[in-house]
Amino acid sequence: MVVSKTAARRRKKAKLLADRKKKACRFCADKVETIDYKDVVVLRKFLTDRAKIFPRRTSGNCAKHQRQLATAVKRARYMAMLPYVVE
Amino acid sequence: MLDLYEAMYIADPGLSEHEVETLAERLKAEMVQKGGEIVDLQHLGKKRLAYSIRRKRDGFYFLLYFRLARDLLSELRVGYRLNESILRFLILKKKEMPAQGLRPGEVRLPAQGLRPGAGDKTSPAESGEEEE
Repeated sequence: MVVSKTAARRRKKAKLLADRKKKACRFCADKVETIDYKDVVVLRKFLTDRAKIFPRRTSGNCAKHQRQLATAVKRARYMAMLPYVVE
Repeated sequence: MLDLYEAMYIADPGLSEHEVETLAERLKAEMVQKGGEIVDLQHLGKKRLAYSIRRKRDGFYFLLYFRLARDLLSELRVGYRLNESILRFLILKKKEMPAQGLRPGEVRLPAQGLRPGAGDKTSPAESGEEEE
């Protein structure tokens, strides 16, 4: 059977990804119940330098906490504690 | 049944410290008059806004925890919207008082890092984002 190079490469990559240990969500690790919009210092860690919210694949947050984070950031923006845009 | 709420206000930076105090007292009095109870009031001081609101670059922040009947909330919001001294407010329903207790330093407002939105952009959506 002929296996194409790309297919082999793809399989190798999949194996690597599977072997890599999944990092736990930072908020879960800290046992954070609710993410507070007032805690700008924490929220800021999850913003790019253009004040965008990091995606889950970058932040490593679980779905629950990423959702809470997004809401908290939006509230903080509304209260002018975080910018909507940085130019 | 009274529900617990947390409200944050941004008051006009043009007010004097004394006037801010008076405003806060007035808000508290209004709450009591509507049959609510005040749980806590925290003055967070004058802070730089991340972007300007009504051409103001700063604002006096304060935080009020109160209990009020839920059908009186909309009335409260109408009053706040008409109040020129209040640049912005956010009312959130709370299940319970924050467990870690209320440290005055709880609110850590922007100081460094991301530049506060420069220029005179006014914010989108003046109101309507507040939720229960």
